[in-house]
Amino acid sequence: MPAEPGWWAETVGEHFGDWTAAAAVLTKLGFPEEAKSWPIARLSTGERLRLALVRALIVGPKALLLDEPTAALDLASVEAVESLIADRIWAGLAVLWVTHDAGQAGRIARRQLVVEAGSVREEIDQ
Amino acid sequence: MTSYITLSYVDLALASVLVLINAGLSLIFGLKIHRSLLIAAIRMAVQLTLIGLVLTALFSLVSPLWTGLAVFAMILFAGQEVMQRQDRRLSGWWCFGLGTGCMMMSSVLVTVFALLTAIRPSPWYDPRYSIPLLGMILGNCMTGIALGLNTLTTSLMLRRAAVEARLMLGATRWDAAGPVTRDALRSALMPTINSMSATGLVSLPGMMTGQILSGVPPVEAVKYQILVMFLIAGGTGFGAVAAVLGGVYRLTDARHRLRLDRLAAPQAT
Repeated sequence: MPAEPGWWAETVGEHFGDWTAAAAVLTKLGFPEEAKSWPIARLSTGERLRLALVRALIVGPKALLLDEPTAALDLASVEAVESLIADRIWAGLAVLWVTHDAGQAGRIARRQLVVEAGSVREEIDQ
Repeated sequence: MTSYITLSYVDLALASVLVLINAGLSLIFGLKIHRSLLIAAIRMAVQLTLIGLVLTALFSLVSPLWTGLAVFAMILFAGQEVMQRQDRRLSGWWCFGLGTGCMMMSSVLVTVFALLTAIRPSPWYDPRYSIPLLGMILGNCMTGIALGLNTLTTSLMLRRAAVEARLMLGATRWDAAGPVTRDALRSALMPTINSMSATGLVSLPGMMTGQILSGVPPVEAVKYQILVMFLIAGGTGFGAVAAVLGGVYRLTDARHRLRLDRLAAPQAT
């Protein structure tokens, strides 16, 4: 999932084949049921990031590459996203998460790679 | 004895005064199009005069070789036009090859179909029928393919993030490029649909008008025109579908990645 996700339809609901399944995950990230008809153009950056995350999770991936998925989120949303991803990791999902937040890396990662100037400077196993 | 009124060169010179008036208006209003208008008018007159001479020779020869060569030359010129109408061209040989190949496939197929099933001249390749028919189909096919390919490449550039997003979520290249493909095909076929809708009400097509002026009964001219419109719609449709799908194939790869690096650098303006 890139830091600036792309959209191929005008409303939230059009990005999901199975809205019922999507709504179950969306509510965990603070979206109401009526979000289905919301226009993408009117969503905030944080809402778009959360929506893109759900869009990626709903297809049942085996691995997820996340590029700063909580960079534009408020604290409550950050917690909700971390909790959601942590649950999926426990369920067997492999996640490669890029973040500038060392605290977040400590909360989520089993293995941390500290990258500096394009090279791995440090490796931490938890 | 001819059943139509022949035109003299004086008649043509008189009509050309209208173009000169337009050029004068351009000068008066500072539009700066008088030069291109006059060049286009002279080019048109020279090209049509030459094609008149070529057609006269072809019609008298009725040779499959010369007819085939004329067809081939027409398709090559049309391919060049398609290429020049692209804002962002495919790189390398694909740029000329895709549009030209699809035009050749669809226009020749549809022309041969019409010659063998509807018109049935003897011989079947009689240039008096095959060349004008191919010219009409090819001209429309060229416009459709040029519009379709241009919409495809520009839309893929503008909507790159959306296409990439679908690819990232596991969509195939055909699914991911689906909305862009549909837009490209719609824009390719729109002129044909508009033309069919407006024919008879808003406009009287050139071929039908020409036949009527040359003494053909209007009902017979209309039948020819309907046939030609169907052939144009079919040819443009086949050609545009092949060209747009070929474009999607070229601008993605077997690993379902978007390959916009296969577009040439933008043309300097």
